[in-house]
Amino acid sequence: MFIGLKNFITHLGRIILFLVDMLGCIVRGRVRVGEVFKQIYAQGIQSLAIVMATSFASGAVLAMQSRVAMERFGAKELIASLVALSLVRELSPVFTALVFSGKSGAGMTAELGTMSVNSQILATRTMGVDPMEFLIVPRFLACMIVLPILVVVSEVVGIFGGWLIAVTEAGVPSSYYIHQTLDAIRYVDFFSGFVKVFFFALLIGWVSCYKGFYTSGGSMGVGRFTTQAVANCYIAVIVSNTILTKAILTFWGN
Amino acid sequence: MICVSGLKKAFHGQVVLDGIDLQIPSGEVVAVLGSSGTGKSVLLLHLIGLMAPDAGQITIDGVEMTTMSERALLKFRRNIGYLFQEGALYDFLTVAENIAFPLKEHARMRPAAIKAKVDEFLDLIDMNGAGEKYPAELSGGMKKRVALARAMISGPKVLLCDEPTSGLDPIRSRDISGLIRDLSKKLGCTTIMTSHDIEHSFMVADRLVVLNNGRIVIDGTKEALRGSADPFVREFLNS
Repeated sequence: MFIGLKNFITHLGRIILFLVDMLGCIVRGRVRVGEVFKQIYAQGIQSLAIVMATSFASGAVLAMQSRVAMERFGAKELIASLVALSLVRELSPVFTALVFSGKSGAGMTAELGTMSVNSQILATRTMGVDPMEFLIVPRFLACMIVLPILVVVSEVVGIFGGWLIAVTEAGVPSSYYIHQTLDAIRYVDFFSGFVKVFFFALLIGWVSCYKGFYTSGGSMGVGRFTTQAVANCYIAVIVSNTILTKAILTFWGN
Repeated sequence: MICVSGLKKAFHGQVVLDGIDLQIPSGEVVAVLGSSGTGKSVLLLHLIGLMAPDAGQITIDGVEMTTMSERALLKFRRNIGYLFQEGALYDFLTVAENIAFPLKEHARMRPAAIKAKVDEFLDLIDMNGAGEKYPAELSGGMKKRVALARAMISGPKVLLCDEPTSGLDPIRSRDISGLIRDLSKKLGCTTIMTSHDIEHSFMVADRLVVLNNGRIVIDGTKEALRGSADPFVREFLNS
């Protein structure tokens, strides 16, 4: 019991110190811009297609379901508002973060984990280079940049999915749908979703890099740590989303 | 000059290094021999500051390493080349980029000068034309040669090699052993290599150190080793 508690506290301390070290590097300007751009490209390319596909499907399904519900209340013209607000305030940030965790987050952990078990991270230190600066910070910063961009893409594609269904199946006029969408989204809707995205990006970057950096146990270890990273990211995104949504609604209003 | 005095290290109560004393003059090539688990690699990790001792001191050219901060160690390690057992080359860089890495990081050299130096080292390791390959496309022996070039390119004062011949066939083992000796002598660096491989250690080293149970059993030339009456040394030589 005591040993378990001691291990937990040690582990927690190491996770927090990892974040402090990472942020410390950024604050002190130890950022390799070229490496960050390489990672932005890699992470963006990895996730873009799957984010677009899931967003389009989400928007389309949302429009199909909204049509059923709205027609019951004779409010078919509100499909556009419902789809737009759902996507911008909630679905796009959360879905994109989850997809990104499973694709780019897992990629980061597996890549760093392989480097860790093959002594490449140790080799970085033997060559007088800080692996935090060379390997971790670029991936973390890329994550902080790519995820918000992907969320914007997701919102646009999702709204397009909703538009397609509303126009072709529900008979809503195209110009009316676009007008309703633009009318429905206020700054508060967009930014409340966006604030959450930055927290999600921080959590995904932190967890994925930490797990990869401390991977051990050979190729089996890489698999195990990558799976753990994805599961932890999912939990972190879903739990933090609940807390952040409540906090935003309380302090920022509706 | 490398001075190790009273170096001790234990893991979970199991003593791995038990008061190691070792003086290595500059330019000497030393092989640390011993069976698996005798603390050879642990000794090397201490010499590059990746592990902190429980007791004892390590000085390299008069600079005490064991009390340095991680930042200071990062800077100090630029004087040390380290050859990992598996090479530890970056998968995402080509052979040429791997070799150039220490220069790009620390040397204020123009890209053309770095390229010329990389070409020179590719020639030294007999891998001309392989600069654009990735580590995954190389054999184990080639990876070790590239890793050796990467460890040596910035002209370190000290070269540490962890089991450089492990996993290689006899011909490749002889190649890499010869290469370590030639490059060490050519660049004038102090070299410490760990090995189980007695034959190739005799070929490369000026001096041999045998470890057993965390202690130095014998420290001398190959003749001294052959003439030793120590039962462990006799068994090790005859194995």
